[in-house]
Order: sequence, then C-alpha cells, then structure tokens
Amino acid sequence: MAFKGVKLTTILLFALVCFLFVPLFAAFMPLLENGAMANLKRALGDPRFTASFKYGLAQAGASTALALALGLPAAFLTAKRSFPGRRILASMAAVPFTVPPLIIAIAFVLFYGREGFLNRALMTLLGLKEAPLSFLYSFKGVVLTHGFYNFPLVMSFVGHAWSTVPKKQENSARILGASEGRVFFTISLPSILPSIGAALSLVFLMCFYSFVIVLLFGAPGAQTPEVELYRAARFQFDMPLASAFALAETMVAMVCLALYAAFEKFAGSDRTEVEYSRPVPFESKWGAALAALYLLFILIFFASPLVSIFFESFIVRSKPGRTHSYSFGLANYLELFMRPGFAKALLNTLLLGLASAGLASIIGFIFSVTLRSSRSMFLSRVLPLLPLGVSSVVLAFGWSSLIDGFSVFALIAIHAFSSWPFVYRAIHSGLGKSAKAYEKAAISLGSTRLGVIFRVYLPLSMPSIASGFALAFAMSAGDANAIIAAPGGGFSTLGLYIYRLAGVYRFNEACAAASILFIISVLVFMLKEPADDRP
Amino acid sequence: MLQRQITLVLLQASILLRHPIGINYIDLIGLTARFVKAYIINTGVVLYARWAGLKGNASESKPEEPDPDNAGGGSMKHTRFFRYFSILVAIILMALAFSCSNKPDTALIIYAYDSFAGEWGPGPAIIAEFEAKTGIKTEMIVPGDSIEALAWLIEEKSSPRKGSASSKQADILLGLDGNTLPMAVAKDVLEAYKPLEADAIPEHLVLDQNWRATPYDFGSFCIMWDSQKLELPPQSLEDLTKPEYHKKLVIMDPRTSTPGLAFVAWTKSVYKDGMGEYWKRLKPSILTMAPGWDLGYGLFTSGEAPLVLSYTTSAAYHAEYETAGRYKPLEFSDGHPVQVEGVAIVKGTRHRKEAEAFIDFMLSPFVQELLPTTNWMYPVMPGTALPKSYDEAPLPKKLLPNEEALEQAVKLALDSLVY
Repeated sequence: MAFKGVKLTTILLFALVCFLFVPLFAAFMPLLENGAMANLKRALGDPRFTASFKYGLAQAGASTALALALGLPAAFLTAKRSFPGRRILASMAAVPFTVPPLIIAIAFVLFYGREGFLNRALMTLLGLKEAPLSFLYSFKGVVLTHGFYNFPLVMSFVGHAWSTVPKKQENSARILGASEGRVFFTISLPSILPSIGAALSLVFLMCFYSFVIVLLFGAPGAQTPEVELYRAARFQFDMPLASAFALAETMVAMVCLALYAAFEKFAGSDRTEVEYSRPVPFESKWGAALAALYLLFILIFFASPLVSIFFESFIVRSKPGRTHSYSFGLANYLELFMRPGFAKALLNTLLLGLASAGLASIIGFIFSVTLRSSRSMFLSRVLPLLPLGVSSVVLAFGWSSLIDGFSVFALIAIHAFSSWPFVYRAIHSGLGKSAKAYEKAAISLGSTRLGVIFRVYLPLSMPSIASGFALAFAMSAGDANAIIAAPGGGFSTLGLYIYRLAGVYRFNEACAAASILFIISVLVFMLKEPADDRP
Repeated sequence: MLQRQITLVLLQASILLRHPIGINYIDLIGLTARFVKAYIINTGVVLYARWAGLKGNASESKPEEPDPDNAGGGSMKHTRFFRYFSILVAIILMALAFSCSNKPDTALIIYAYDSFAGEWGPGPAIIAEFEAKTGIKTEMIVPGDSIEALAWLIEEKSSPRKGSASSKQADILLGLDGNTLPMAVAKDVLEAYKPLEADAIPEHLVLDQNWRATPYDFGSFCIMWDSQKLELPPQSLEDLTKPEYHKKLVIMDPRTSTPGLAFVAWTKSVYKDGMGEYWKRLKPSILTMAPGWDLGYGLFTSGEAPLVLSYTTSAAYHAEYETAGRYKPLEFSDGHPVQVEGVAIVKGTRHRKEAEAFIDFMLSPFVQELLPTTNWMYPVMPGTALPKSYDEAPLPKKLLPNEEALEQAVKLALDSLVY
C-alpha cells in the first residue's frame, strides 16, 4: 500500500505549491518590466521608502512588546487556572482573526476617542470641559490598538504551550525539592519560550502589515510600505513599482517567518506526549486578587471597546421627522434581517466557513500525518507559513490577475489556504511523539498504515483538528479581502457586507452585522474549547 | 504514475492553450493558471478512476494499467473508506477546476464598480428596466471599485486572450471619471460614441470632446458640518486653518481614497504653487486622515470630529433617511471640486448596437431620476426632477475645473505634513 500517503501527498503538495506560488508569482512578475534592478532602484531611491520602513518596524516592535505584556498573564490564566469566565477569555483568541481592522478601529474610536465612552466618563467624573485623553491619534494610539488587538494571539499560542508543559519533569523537580519559582524558571519557562518567540514573530508580522489602523491613528500622512504599495498599484497604475515595494516588504516578512519557523521547531521539542494539564483553582487569595485585577483591566480596556460596537449597533439614527437625532432599539437588527441580501450573506458566510475550514482541516491532517517523520525544515516548517508572509494587498493583486471569473470554489480554496498555516500548526503540534509509539505497536499487531492513520492518528489529533477548524472558520468568516479581490456580482458574505454597509452611510447597521459575525465566531470557538479541557 | 500524469497534463494543456505562447508576463501567468487547471482536472479524473474502480477510460487519457497494490484484498474496510473519500476529493477538485473555466457569453457585459452594482446601488434596477425595455440580455460584472474595473479591462485588452470567444469580455465600462479617463484613453481601450442626447448635456460636464466616454452623473465634494458640535462653521479653505478648528477636521488619505485625492486637487486649484504652504497651515486642524471615506465619515457621525470631507449629497442622504438639519454641507467661497462619472463602450465589442442602446438608456429619465437616491450623485440631464431631500444638498454655485498631474500635488501635500 505504498500509495496512499505518498501519492496523495504529492498531489496535495503540488496543489498547495500552486496555490501559494501562482499568486505570488503573478504579483512579482511586473517587477521584470523594464528591468527588475531599475524598478528596485526607483523604489529604494525614494526617501519615503526608508521613512516608511522605519515607521513600520518601530510601530510593529512597540505593538509586539505591548501584546506580549498583555498576553502572558492571560496565557497563564487560561492554561493553569480555573475561574469563572475562563472559557470566554480563551475564546477571545477569535478576535484577531474574526474582527476586521475596520471594526477594531471603530471600536477603539468609540471607546478611547475624543467623544468616546472613556473620555466622557472621565469628563463627567472630574468635571472637565475638554477630553483628557487624546493619545488615540498618535503613535501611542497605533501601538495601543495593535497591542490589544493582537494580545489574544500571544494568549492562545503561549497558553497552549503552557498547558502542555511536560508534567513529569515538573513533578520530578518538585520531588527533588525545587521551589515553585525554580520549577518555573528552569523547566516551564524554557519549555514555553519557543512558543513565546513564535507568537511574537507572528504578531510583529501582523502589525507590520497593518494598514487601516496605522493610517487612521498614525500622524497625518504616516508612511508604511503597505500604503506606498497600495498607492503605486491603485492610483498610479505603476505595477513595477508596486512589485518592488511588495518584494522589499516580503523580505521583512520572510525574516519574521524564518524566526517563527525556528522558534516553532523548538516549541514542543521536549514534549514526548501531549497531555493537557487540568486548570486548577487559585491557591492563594493574593493570586486570585491579582488575577481579578488583571481581568478587570482587560475587561475595561479591551472588552469595553468591543462592547461599544454592540452598544453602537443598538443606536438608531433613522427616525425621519423626529427632533431627537437618535434613540436605542433593535431597529438596526430588524432592518438588517429584512434586507434581501443579508440572509444570503449570512448563509454564504456559514457555508464558506464550514467548507473552507473543513478543507483546511482535512489537508492539514493529511499533511501532519505524512510529514510526521519528515526532517525537512522546508516542508514541515517553512512551506506551511508562506501565505502569512505575503501582504493581503499583494495577494489580492496576484489573485485578481489570475482569476478571470468568479467562483465560489476558488474562494473556498483561497480561504482554506490562507487559514491552513494555523490549522496545520494546531494539528501538527497536537501530534505528540507518543503517537509514534502507538503507531509501531499497531503495526506490529498487524494493522495497515491506513489503519494506523484512522485508528491512531485521527483520534489522537481530534482535539487539535477541532481547534484548527474553529480558527479556520473564524478567519474565513472575518475575511473580506479575498472576496474583494475575487468578487462575484451577487455573492457576498458578512465580512463584505460590513464594508458595504459602512460605505453607504449605514454605520450602525455595520456595527450590528459585525456583532453578529463576532458572536458566531466566538460560539464556534467555545464549541471547540471543551476538547482542550480533557484531562 | 507521476510521469504519466505529467504527459497527461501536457496533453490537456495543449488543448486548453489555444494560442501560441507569448512573451508577455500575463501570458506566463495565464499559462501557469491553465496548467494548474489542467492538473487539477486530470488529478480529479485519475483519482476518481483509480478509486471508483473504473480502471481507465475515464478521460481522454490512455487506460491505466492494473495496479497490483490496489487489486482487492488488503484491508477492505479502509479501501472502501478511502474510495469514498477520494471520490469526494475528486468531486471537489473537479468542481474547482470547472468553476475556473470560462462560460461562453452572449449577453451584453458591463463592468461596473461595487457600490453601483450592489444592493444599495442603482445597478439592479437599471439592468431590470433595460432588459424589459429592449430585450437585450445584460450582465453586470463587478471587478471591485472603479479603478479595479479599469485595471481588469486594461489587462483583458493587453492579454492575448483577446479575440478568443471563451471568456466574458466587457462591452461597457461604467464609472470612469476625470482621473481615470486619461488612463483609459492612453491605453486605447475605448470606442467613441456620441449619444442621441449628447447636445443636451451641459458643456462643463462633458468628459471628452471626442465622446469616448459619456457622462451620466456628477458629484461635488465639500466639508460637512455637524451643527450640534460646532457653533461657527468655516467659510473657506483658509478658515479651516484657524486655531479654533484645532483637531476638528477629518479628511481622507489621498493615497488610498478618491475623496482624499479630490481634496488635494481642491487645494491645488485654489492655492496653485502655494498649496504646500497651505497644507502646513492646515496640519494642526487635521484630527486624522482616514484610509477611506467610510471610516472617515463614521468618525464624523459618531461625534469624533465636527468637520469632515465628504460629498455635498451626504446631506440629502441624512434628509432622506434620518433627521434633516444636523449635518450640513458648507459652501466655500473658493469653489468646489467636481467629479463627473462616465460610461464608455469598450474597444472591440461584439455588441456595438446593444452597447449604444445602453449608453442612451443611461441618459433616459428613468435612470437619471434613479441616480440621485441610489448613487447619491446629481443627474447630468438638465430638467431632471430631484427628490425633496436634495433641497438640503444644493449644488455649489462655483465648480472648479478638473485638475491634472495630481501625482506631484499629492507628494507635495504629504511632504508638507511630514516635514
């Protein structure tokens, strides 16, 4: 039965490479027009270029530091402690993937803005006339937004590593008389360090590519490579220049990815088998108090902006003929549900999410099984990450030059392949080394290789497939880029619907649609959570 | 096995590629895409044949040799499972492959921008009425916004797929304006047509003296004022620089949005060479430059800033759907920039007559009366009845001519902000 893994993998690998490289290829081809060097020189010669890279790297660095500071306590709490609301905190991991930057920007404006809830509350409390907090529209605002937007990513990466720190080693150290502090610094920390590194390089990458938030909150005229790229491609029709920017930008991304891959390689290298530690109640009152304080902080500064979106979705502006300019009510939701396009968009989002997450999970599973013993860094570590290293503007540009007509299946494929790195990562890290022992045992007992896959690997990786699936679903549901790049007249999803609503003055309805999208994704995340709780 | 697949791919690729291989890079992309398609189709067929037990004769390929690995025996259970699984995979892949392939076109194809063709735009009503009136089957395709629509068209025309009847090619491009028309003209992708009602269109709205594009509506930009948050509104561009408007203005980034670009053009036509200095003076008043109109206007309606760059028709929207009077368009003494939107026939169309009929239809009273409340623009045909909500959005008295060479102006404005 030599087929079976090998040939299927060859086929899948080829399809994957096509999906990853063809759009990239398409995006970089214009560089060759009139000579690649001349184009690169033109791009690099612009003083804006250096300025934009400096700014981009600085904001990404600062944002990553903030995300780390915010994310580590959350990682500890979700991995090690049981408390009411733990699952809700854990499902916040959906936020960076589901909530589009447009909505995050609105959320932060509604909460931290000059007329935001926070400023208004402070003005009433302190009896001020002018808004006391005005840092939102500055470098600090960019960092704050990015930090809060991405800390759940640190939480979920590091939290996963933390809950799977080898118990035997910890316990042996304890038996040998090590203090809890020593256990942490000599065993737990080294064990989760690679995951911290991986999470940070990923957050850095996401902040580096951020577009909407940097433009909105950065100083007027803030320069990032992504903006220059967008402008060259969209307003100047200068594709060679756009490609040159894309290439330079992708270089930075590749460095991040190389770091990420290197960290990932070490993450879990000491896990002989994956066992999840069961979260325990707080040991001391001080610990509980500290945790409560932290949770309160997160609730106020991170959850409240998201809640403001819900709040905004209940504000009704459409009351023709009345003197009051707005009121509260369900009218936005009612109107949304009455729209002929909405039910379709909702259904499309669900189907697209299920299909692409299903596809991504199947491929992710097949890959992690066939690559389980591969020693090739490129195949098992770097290749799965490549889609992350390409900015959405570049990818969109590549896709739209490739696809000549709209196709739902193409969209499913695009979504599946863009969420695939995360799905693959989840499944791959879920396959501990113990699986190999079971495999050998099964084979020696006369099982076929296929039997091993379905009887050993599939059950073992079910929980991680579930979390990969949830993530892929969330990413697909929140995406608007791929649909904008590969548009089909009648086809829309919630992600696209939000943008369209915001584009036709229906801001509060856009908030309502975003709230629905968010609730769906969080529900999917909560569904997969019990799997992580197993002893 | 793999070798045979490669031969098959080459075979199928040669069928799919009906034109000789060119040198143009788009060719290369197209070629790769076709290879992928061929490979996917092929893989699907082979997988299906293999696992459904239909050895060979499943495609135009040579029959497969019997595979000793798979000949019965073994673990029947898993083979059966895998068979169903691979049939599923094959179906998915085939569907994928076929969905990538092109359908033949017989209808009149219009490339339009997203908001025009969407649920809130005039597109659906226009198509329905046009089809009912003329019996011409019409299809609206949305490559994205107006710039993407043009980019698609240019690529379609420069690619060698031209002339093949396989892909849906545009007959009409909708949504050209004063900035994009010169690009389209430079790439020579349009055919001239002077519509029957051409002479009725006011001279200052005519986009092109040679009628390569016909104007159908136009809008004007202005600063919108939130009268509840700010007592004394500015009266001119110069007023905006006053200290009392410190951090009170939201504009859009000229690098990422059309209104942002229009604002740069506005300052250029008012201040000419002094525009760099003007932007320096304006800087303290700018709260932020939003990446797009939607977000910028959202800040305005959520009370974040009392002044925002928008369309004069924004007030009509508020009057139509909300309470009139709170948000007002400000008329500046400097004059206002104008954006005229046009529709054009694509060069080499196979439906010239039908395309002409459509362009005439765009100037008919039905469409002209529909545009103000769906596309939120003023109709070009004089004497078109405007809805009552437009009382709130009077057209500015002084309209500024279209500015060219904005490239330099954008650079100058941004440099003035940063340095």
